[in-house]
Amino acid sequence: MPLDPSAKRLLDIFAAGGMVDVASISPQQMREGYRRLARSVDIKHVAVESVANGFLPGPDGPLPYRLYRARPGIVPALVFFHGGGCVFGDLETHDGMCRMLSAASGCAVIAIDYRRAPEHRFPAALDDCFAATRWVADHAREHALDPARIAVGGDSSGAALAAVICQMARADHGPRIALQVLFCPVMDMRPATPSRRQLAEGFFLNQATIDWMLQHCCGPVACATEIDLGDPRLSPLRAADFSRLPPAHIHTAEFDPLRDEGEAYAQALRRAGVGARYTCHAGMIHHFYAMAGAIPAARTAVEAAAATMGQALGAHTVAATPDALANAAGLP
Amino acid sequence: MRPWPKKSGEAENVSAAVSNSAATDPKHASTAPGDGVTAVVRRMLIERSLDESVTADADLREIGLTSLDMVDLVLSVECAFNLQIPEAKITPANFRSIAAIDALVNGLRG
Repeated sequence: MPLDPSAKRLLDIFAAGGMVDVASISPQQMREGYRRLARSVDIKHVAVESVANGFLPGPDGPLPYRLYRARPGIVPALVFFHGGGCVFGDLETHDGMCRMLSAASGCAVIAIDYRRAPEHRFPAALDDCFAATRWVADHAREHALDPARIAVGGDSSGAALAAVICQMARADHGPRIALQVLFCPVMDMRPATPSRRQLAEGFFLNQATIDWMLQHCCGPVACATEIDLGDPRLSPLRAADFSRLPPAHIHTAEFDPLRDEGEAYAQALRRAGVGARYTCHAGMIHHFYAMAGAIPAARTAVEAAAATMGQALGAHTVAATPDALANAAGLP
Repeated sequence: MRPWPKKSGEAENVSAAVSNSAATDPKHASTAPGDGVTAVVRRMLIERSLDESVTADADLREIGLTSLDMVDLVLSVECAFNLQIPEAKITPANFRSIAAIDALVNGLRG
């Protein structure tokens, strides 16, 4: 289908800003720009039962988190990692998305304010998110969360963090993750996909911005020489083995350069016998889920994704046996 | 007339730019020239800790607004003047400067 009219309008507005040399923008400017963008276009006033801020112990000090609950009682939880290339993005930029995910799923959502580059370079964000996932699993009961129904998820680079954490948890024998929910994931640092080629410019995210993030994440030296872009912690699609990973819900946007790598990840999981439900949201663009204030169809899409997640995690059942849970979550 | 401080030597240019703008668009004569748009842009510059002493013809990208800021700019202008800017009018040229936005808004309101 064609671009969603509201999404197209946003792209037109970005384009009217003209080409800005992203290399000239500092991480601080990008963080502030992203927060202001959220104030303009994020959805507001999505009601949840409660929102509580707290700190959990991270590998390098306390990590802020925000816990959204949609209903009382013991519920499944999504540990959520925001996007922004591990350089920008925070609890505020994805507040609307987390509210929608919680309200429409019945699950709790715990958004993690992990350390960002360039102050804390790769893999600091990954270390934080892994520690946060382990902490949520270990302390679930204290927060009325079901430790057998902990999902991880995120958007863009945050979705990559979630996918990598599933791979790490498998290698490290824990924590047990019931489901991975990935929105527009960055799955490969140098992919030769049709969507990266066809949607290279003018669709919110371009290669120059991805390179800018990589430089800040991995250091000022040319990344290709210093960092192995094929490292599965940066490019989870390049992992050697996809078996025994948690079932996945993978959401892409039709007009996102990252679309095809998200689909490729779903296929790789399926080939390895892992249940993967793949949804390409027609007419949508990268970051649609965090611009639902300006793109009405984005709200419908996120809420449908959340409802599916809630069903897979048995959010509206009092208790789920691990087997029933695995079966439900694994339905393609 | 201009309610904000100027960098030294800029005042003449600002007045000249506003006069030019008013001269090419007769609607300026009946409304406060550029004040609504100027207020929006000034608010944005202050929020971004940028120099707020912008001239009507200054290129907004050159003074530090980025394409991410364009969303705020377009939506704020629409809100300030209670209008929806048609897609075809959302062009780099129409949002290049305060004078350009002013001309756009006056054209749409006319």
